[in-house]
Amino acid sequence: MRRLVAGLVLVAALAVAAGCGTSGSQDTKTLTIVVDAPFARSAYLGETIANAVQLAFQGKTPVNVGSQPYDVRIVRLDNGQSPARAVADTRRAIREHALAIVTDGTGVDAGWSLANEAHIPICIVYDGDEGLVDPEARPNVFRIAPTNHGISFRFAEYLIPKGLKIAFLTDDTGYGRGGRDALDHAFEQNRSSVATRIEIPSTATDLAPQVLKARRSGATALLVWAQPASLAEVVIAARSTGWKVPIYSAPSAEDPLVRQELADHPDWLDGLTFASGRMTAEVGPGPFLAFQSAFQSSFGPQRVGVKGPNGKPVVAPPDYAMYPYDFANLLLVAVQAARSVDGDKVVAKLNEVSVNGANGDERGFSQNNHDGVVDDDVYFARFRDMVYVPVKDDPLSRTLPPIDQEG
Amino acid sequence: MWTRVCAGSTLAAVAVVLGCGGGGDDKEKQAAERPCPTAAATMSGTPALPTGFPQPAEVTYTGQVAKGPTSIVKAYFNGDIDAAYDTYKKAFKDPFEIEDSEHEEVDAEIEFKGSGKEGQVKLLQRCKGRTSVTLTIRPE
Repeated sequence: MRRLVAGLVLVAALAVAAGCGTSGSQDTKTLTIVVDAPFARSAYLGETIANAVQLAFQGKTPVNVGSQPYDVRIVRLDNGQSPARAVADTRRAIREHALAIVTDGTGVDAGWSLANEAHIPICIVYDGDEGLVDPEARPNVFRIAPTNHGISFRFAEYLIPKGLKIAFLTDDTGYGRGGRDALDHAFEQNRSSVATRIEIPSTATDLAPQVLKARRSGATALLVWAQPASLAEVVIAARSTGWKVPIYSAPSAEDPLVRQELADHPDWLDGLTFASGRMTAEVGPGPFLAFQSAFQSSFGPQRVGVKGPNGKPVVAPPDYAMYPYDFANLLLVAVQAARSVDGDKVVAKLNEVSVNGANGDERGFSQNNHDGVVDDDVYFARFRDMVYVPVKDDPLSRTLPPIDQEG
Repeated sequence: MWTRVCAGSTLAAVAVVLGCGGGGDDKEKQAAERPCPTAAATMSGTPALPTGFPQPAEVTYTGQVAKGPTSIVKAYFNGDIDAAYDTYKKAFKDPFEIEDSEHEEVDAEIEFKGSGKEGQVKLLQRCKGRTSVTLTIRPE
């Protein structure tokens, strides 16, 4: 509770400083923050990121940096999950003298150096690929999102003791391939737990052959690391043949698209278990619920398009919104600590400052660590009647409260 | 400006109302003031820890299990959460480095990396003068 109160005091102080400190003699300038995300191909993800950044600055503008007041402009650029488009977006961010780029992670491998030359920090808020973040080699790249390393090792710790023979089904996107690499690493000491590894085409609308291949391998569980549409196709292919194999998934299972695709057969989704970053922290659900309330007040509930166990519409909790929100708050504190919008100074301060995150956890980076979500904060949740709750057979997950998803 | 203050107040009010429902933290704080029951038995042998991993004198090891590639070591620290946290934080030395750490009322976490391993020291004071220790050690 002390943390929550401290957080509120900080937020209030920033709001007052931002609102009251504008000098009449200074013209207000504009800070540009670019949100580069797949707004058309994955509207849920793109809108979540952009709205969270917007929420972080609500009521805090104009922002005073030293004695100079700034308004904040959030520019949404659609990378279409294409690295080439993401690089083009980075070039545009540079032309517009952006203060920072907040991205799902698409194209960061290709664009980070351009941003670095222009002294622009990048924060990844979805993709957990291990190679994307390296504080030494890529000093301007930060991440607040569960890492693939954390997700895959937590899966290994959770699944290997169950004695399952697991088929890895990973799609041919960067997301799926990054997941495959991470799973291979996490399971390399326990290869007998892996029945087979199958790459699935992300454009396929029927994955029956791949699922049949997994079944014939002797698999007793499927672990799917794929985009939401491919994950849904795997579930359909397995369940439509009556195969009741347990299915596990990367965080993409949370995407409303999976449930929409399975709306005609909600029971097929029952039991699907996925890994994600914990929504609530040790302080309890209060801070997350407050954040959820603020998010929904500003942008409305993120309706999934299906009904839950009580017949009410299912609403997606804004868990992945916490990450861009926290980064935007870190950025604000860093700029004010630097008393400058100079990119090098802001990056340096990003290595030092911390904030109370949306769920009450402390969030920050250091010179040696640019990942803001620790591996041990990965939990598991299981679907039942189109909503999900933390599992009971994992030491961390069983301590977490369920979050109401009907409204 | 007035709108901004009102919006801020509403957010704060919502946060406080919702925040008060957390619950678990107070119970843990009360438990941390109670006398300790008999401690768990010491494990036979010593846990397999990475070379150079901190082994404070105040720590008694009670068990070790493998979960896939990861080793989980259970122990307790003779002392309160502050002492346990400070002791572990000071004990991590090259080749280990602390990546992140957080200390709350009765619990704390230290994220570490080094010697090809990474993981967490999780500390929780469950009773007066004793703090449970859970070491999660996984390949880097």
